[in-house]
Amino acid sequence: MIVQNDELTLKLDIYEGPLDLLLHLIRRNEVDINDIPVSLITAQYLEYVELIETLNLDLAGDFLIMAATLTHIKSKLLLPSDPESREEDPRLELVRPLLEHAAFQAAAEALGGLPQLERDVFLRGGKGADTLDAALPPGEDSAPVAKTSAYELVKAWGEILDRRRSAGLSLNFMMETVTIGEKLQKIRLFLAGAKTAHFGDLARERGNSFELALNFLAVLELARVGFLRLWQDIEVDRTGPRLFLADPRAKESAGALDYR
Amino acid sequence: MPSLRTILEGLLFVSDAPLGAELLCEIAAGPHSTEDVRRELESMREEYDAGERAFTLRQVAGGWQLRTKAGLAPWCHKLKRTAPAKLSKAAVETLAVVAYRQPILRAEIEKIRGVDAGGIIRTLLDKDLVRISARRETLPGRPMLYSTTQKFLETFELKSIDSLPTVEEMDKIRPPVVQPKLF
Repeated sequence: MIVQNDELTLKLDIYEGPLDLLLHLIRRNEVDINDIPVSLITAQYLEYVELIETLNLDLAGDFLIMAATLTHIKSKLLLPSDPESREEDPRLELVRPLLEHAAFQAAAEALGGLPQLERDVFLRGGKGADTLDAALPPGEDSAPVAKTSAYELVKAWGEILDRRRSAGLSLNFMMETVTIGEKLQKIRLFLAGAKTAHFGDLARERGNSFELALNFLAVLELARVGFLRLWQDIEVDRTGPRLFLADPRAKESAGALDYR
Repeated sequence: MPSLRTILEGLLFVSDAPLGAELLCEIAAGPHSTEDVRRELESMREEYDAGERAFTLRQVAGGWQLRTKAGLAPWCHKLKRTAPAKLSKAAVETLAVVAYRQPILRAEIEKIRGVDAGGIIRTLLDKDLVRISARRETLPGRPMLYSTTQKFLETFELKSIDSLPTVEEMDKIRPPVVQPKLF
C-alpha cells in the first residue's frame, strides 16, 4: 500500500494479522524464533502498530492484543528470575504459534508451487474439473451439467428466500397442515411426469416459508433414497440445482417413506 | 480389434474426469487384469513425458487424466481469453491449513493464521475447494469441520490427499508425543 501526501510518500506493507507481522520482524532482524530478543522486536512491533493507528486503519484490534502480550512478556523478562522456580521461559507462549504460522506459510508456498489446473495445466476442452456423469439422464438440452452439492442447494434455498423477501412477501408463523409426506408425494408425481425440474420451480407456487422448508427437506430425502439426482449447470442454472428423476424403481422406497 | 493401449488412450481422450484403473479395465473388457492396465498406463505416461507431446498422463484424484504439459499456459490462456486463475496469498494459506490439518474447525484455522477466516472460507466453499465434512459433536454448538474436496485434488494435480508436498517445517511442529509419567 502506498500512502501519499504533500510531504511524504510512504510504502507500507500490509500484514495479515499480528503473527504475520511478528514473523516478518523476526526474519528481517535475522534472529532465532526460539530465542527472540523481545525488547527489540516489541519496539519495532509497536512502531508499526502506531503507524497503523496514525493512518486510522481499521486493523488495529488484533494487533493491539499481540502488542499487550509482547509488553507483558518483556516485563516478565525484566524481573529477576528465581533460580529455584520452575517457571518456563515466558517467550515460549509465542514460539509455538510462530512456528506453526511459519510452517503453514511454507506449506502454502509448496501448494502454490504445484501445477495448477487452469493456471499452468489444462484439460482437453477445458471444461475444468466438473464433469458429466455417465448416469445423467439424457436431457433435451445439451448444456453441460455438473453434479451438485448440498452446499449449492442451501445457497439456492437462501436465494429463493431472499427473492421472496425482496418481493415483499411476508413470512408468517402459523400452524400448518401440510406434512412432509405430502410434499414427497407431490414432488414424486411432478418429477415422474416432468422428469426434470429446477429446484427454484418447486418454490414458485405460493406457500409460506414452512412449506418451502418442507420442500427443501423432501428434496433432500428423495435424493437420499436415490429417487432423484441433483445437478447443476454452472453457467445457466440461475435458479439453483436441477432435479432429475434418477431411478423410478426407487419409487417404492420413496413411497414407503412415512413422515407425519 | 484395437490394442489395449489404443482403447485406453481413446477412453482417456474422451473423458472429462480422471478415470480409475479399475473402471478402465472394466470398460476395456478383455483378458487383462487391472494390473495390466496400470502397467500400460504407466508406460503411456513415460512415452508422453519423453516425447514432444503437448500433453501427458497424470494421476489425479484417484484416477488418470490427460493434461497439457506445463509451459503451454501462455498460449492456452490466449486461446481461452482467460487470465491465469489466481488464488490470493491468504486463500492459499488458508487452503494449506485445511489441507494439512483436515478435518479442522474454523476456530483452529483462525488460531493458526492469527486472523479471521470467515470470508476466505466462504470463498473456498464457493470455489468448491473446501467442503463442510462433519460437525464436532463433542463441542457445544457442534461447530462445522472443514476438509478439502475432490476438486481440490484435481486443481492441484494431486493423486490423493496423502500426496501433498512434504514440508520440512511441518514436521517440526508435530505435537510432541506425551510420554506417560511413571513417577
